[in-house]
Amino acid sequence: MDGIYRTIIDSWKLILPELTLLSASAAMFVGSLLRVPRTVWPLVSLGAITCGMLLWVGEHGWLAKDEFIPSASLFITDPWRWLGRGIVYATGSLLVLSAWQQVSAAYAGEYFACLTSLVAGAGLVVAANDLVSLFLGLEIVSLSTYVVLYISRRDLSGLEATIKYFLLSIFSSAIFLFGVSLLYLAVGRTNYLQIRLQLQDLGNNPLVLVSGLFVIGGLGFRLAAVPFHFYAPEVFAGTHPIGAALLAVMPKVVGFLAIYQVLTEIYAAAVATVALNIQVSSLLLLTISVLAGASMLLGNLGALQQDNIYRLLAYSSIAHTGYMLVGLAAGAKGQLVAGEQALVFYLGAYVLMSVGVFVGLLCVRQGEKLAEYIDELSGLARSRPMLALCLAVGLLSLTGLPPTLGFWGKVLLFLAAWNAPEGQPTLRYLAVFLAVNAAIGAWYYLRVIGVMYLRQPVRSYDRAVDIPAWLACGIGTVATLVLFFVPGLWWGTVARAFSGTVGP
Amino acid sequence: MATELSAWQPLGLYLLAILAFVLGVLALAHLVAPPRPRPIKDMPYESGVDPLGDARLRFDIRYYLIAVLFLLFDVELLFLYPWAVAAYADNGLPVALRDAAFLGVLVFLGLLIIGYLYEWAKGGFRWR
Amino acid sequence: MDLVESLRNKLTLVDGLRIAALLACVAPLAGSVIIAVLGWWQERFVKSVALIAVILSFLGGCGVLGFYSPMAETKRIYANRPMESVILAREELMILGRDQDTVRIEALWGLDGISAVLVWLTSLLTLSSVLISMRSIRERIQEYYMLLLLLAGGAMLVFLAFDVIFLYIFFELTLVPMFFLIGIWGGPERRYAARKFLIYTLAGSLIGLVALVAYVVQVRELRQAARLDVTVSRGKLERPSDRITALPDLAETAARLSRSSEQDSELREKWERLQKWTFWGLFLAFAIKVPLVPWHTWLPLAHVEAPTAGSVFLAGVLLKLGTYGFLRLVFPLLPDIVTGWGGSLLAVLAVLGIVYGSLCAAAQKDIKRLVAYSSIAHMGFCMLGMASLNTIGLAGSVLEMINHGLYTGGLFMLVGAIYERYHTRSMLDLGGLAKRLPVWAFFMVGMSLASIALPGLNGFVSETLCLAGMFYKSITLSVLGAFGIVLGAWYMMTMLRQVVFGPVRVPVRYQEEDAIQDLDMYEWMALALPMALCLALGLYPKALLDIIHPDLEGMANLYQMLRRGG
Repeated sequence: MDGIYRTIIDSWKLILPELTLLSASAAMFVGSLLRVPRTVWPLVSLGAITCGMLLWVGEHGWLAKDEFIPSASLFITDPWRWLGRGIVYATGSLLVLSAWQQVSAAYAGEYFACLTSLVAGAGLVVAANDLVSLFLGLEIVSLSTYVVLYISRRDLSGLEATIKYFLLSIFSSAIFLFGVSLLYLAVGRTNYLQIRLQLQDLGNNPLVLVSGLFVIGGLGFRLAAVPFHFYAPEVFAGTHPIGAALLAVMPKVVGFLAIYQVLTEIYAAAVATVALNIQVSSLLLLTISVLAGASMLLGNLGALQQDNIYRLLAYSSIAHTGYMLVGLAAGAKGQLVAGEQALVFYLGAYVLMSVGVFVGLLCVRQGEKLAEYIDELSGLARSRPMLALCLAVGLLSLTGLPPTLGFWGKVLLFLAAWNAPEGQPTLRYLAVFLAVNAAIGAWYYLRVIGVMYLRQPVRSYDRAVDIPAWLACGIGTVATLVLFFVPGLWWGTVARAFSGTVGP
Repeated sequence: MATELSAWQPLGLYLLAILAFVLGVLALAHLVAPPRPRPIKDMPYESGVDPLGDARLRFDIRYYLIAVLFLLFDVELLFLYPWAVAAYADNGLPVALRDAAFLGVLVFLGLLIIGYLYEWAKGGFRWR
Repeated sequence: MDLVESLRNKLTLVDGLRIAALLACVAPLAGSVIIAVLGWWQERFVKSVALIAVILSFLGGCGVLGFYSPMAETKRIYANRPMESVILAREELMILGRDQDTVRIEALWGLDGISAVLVWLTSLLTLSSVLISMRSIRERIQEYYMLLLLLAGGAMLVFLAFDVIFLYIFFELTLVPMFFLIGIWGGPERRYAARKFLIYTLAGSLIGLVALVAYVVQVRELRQAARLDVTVSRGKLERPSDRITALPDLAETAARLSRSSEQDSELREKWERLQKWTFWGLFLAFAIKVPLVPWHTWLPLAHVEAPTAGSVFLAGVLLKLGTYGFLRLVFPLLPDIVTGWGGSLLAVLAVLGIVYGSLCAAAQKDIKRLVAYSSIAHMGFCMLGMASLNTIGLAGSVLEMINHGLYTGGLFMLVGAIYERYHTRSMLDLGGLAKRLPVWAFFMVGMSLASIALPGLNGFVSETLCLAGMFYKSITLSVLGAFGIVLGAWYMMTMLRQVVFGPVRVPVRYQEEDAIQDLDMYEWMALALPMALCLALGLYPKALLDIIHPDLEGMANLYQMLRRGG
């Protein structure tokens, strides 16, 4: 008993980085009432994330203690969660950099406070060991996202985008919560480990399957997976690029790590067979395969017809959700490449390249007027060569062409799906489908590159330099390029995290 | 097959209960109420005052703010009651955890106060 | 590798080869980076950097040949392996798999005879391309040389790559600079041409990648199933390499699978099915690139719209990537298919390409289009020789790659020079240029004759070898292919008679005698080297044949053995 109480009392130490971020966020909310120069806020935010990262680096020592009892803790740290939180913090700091100079002084305090709490929420999601804490994290992310979206662009279209996102997100939370409650109805527990134990004894119970579908559906909204994707183009086009960048990366990181978590730590244990004698988990994986195929296809087909660059990128992000879902569907069974490792590898690559592209687009501006249509990028290679290069690298990486990290990402996803064991032909078809879709995707990404490089400039853009944004864009671009040549660096980290050892 | 279908029972019962409740209430209203419509009776009820103009009036946006704030603080404070009951009851929380629970509630209240201060300073309570 | 072991007493040679290969491929890449970073400074700076880079690269290319040729002699002993390379460098990229069952993905850089001569050809054509661009490119110079050098470096790395992943990567990477070269500095229809080029080849090569990755994974499974994984040597269990992407290892595995599956029908079926699917994937990728006939439509367009240096590079190097892909991937990795129906299919398509390309060329009025279509015919010869699967045909095929690069590159440069001067490429507008531009006419006649395969010039040697090789396999196809030489003579001669000889005829605007100058120094230098080599390789092809022969013999032996076994 003592061990359980100790665990309950001490489990806050597991989320020390998130607590730091949340207190920083609370302090920033209060501080934003004072008159403080604008640059203070991103600095505080970045500082908080750095502190969080330092705590995160030193964290895994606590796990080793004997008296920790996972079935009593709301949170848990294990190697893959550790890596996942690292991705969250890194993404968060890139987002802070990109928003550094983009928020008006009056709202900078709130903006960065929300951004900080968003990162904290994402960290909580990854660290969750309990359905309640998972939902808590998800809600912190959602609430902060609404505010962040609204503050970054406060005109009519920004408002419209925010409202759309708000309503759909609430809806998706409700669906998720419904799924969770059904699961609770079935097993009467919220802790993952306890649920697992209950599920093993439970035998045949369709509620588990239904709850799984609802949970996947609720999280699918965050990922913008087809058929829960339709808000993405509207919101991406309506909001400010920093909002779009945030929506492109953060919900994906959160959503994928959350889905992976519930799939492997809850539903994988559901041994019950449903009508056709199929395992619950394999039925869920089949659902995910279907979502993956649909997302890839509709995302790419949708993107083919777009003239607005943000709508295009929104559809492309839908397609990328599909690619990553392939990794999820492949699961851990791959002999050469485990699906979840390929997924996390791709997730990291996707964050880098998306930040490169979105922040690059942010710099294509004339005063307050940002480039919105592909045609407006005409001849960017001549007017702003470095910017065009960054965008081109990002787009090439999204396409999956060498010499960018995106290439390895796609190869690994393909391998993961292709090399799944015998008796799962679906996955092999999915792998081929992925390749076909990558080829379709090449068309519209290359069209943008073609417009930038082959046409004459039609407009001139400001030469003013937004140094932090440039830094974010540069980090994204350079990392995308460099990691292509040393993919083992990132792959090794991912592979080690999933094979149970901590550290880079 | 039979065992598998029987496992759906809770869900089916749940759905049925919802349906039955909704339909039942509607039916009850129809059955029990004597159908004697008069103009005065059909008038919407507005606290005994005669309704003026269209019912679809726009509310002042400030009502929403107040409503949301009320919800926030009300619901959050409501949380204190179960806590107070559970934490110190004889068969409530184990003694080892009571201090931690107390600290937790303090943090919770602290956050609530921060939110309150923020709202105050932002002018959320001012009727402008 | 045992080869390197045996060469230990010649370690200096391998080191020399390393340095030369490094110089050949790094010089253009470094030049590209320097131009990209500092190119805004001065136009002359850009040009000199580019020139220095390509000269260094050419020296490196010559060094590769020079250091490699003594090794080729030693290599004869090892000719029983299907593929054998001198390892230059290897870098571990990723370790996949779990626990004990891991595989390594490695970047493996190496050289064998085929890649040595192709690296040399690339460095030579890069030099020519840069020289020919000195005057003709006047806008966006910085980007132009940056891309050109990038293209050259990328193409050389394709030839140096001996693992499937990097081979594919650089194969793909050459598309991007070429796309921009056509799209920015090309003719009036450049955008359409660039896009068509890119989409066509990209679509093909993406399918190729899928096939390749699937192949690599499946071969490993088959190998495990066939228990080729564990060999007993000196009483110990030994695992062969876990480097699943290394080409020599893959070729070895493929050969062993083919051999050991002769007894095991279940394995046979699996292995043949794998080969079939992989063949179609890779076939599409490389058939588009070569191009074989039904997939050739992007080529004339791309050639006509590309700037001169782009055309030179496209014909001289990029098309070779297609044939090289066949030779390096399809042929060693899928031996049963290639000795079976795959080889016949390739031979038939090759003959089709020869005849169709020649007839199309004969119908052209635009000289550049004519040369472009003649390229299709020449690449047909190359594929025909390759499909014969014997040492003679394979040697002819590799030699044809080199020779075609030399004379077609030269022809494109000459057509470009005419377009510079008269702004037309139509045979109808031009005539008797021997009187106006005697030096140009000399080169034009020389290159054309090489292209026709006049004995004494290089085209003769390679095309004869290709046909002779095919003769052993199918007399009909060989005779039909030989018909292509006759057609070649016809259209080339018609073009020469029209443009070079006869009464002077130039576009109206250029009637004044002094307006037009003959070849300038840069153009002269760009052309002189290929011309001299056309002659030299026509008279003494043994210089290159000796280098490529051991590798081809290794391949040919394998096919012979399989055919005999089957």
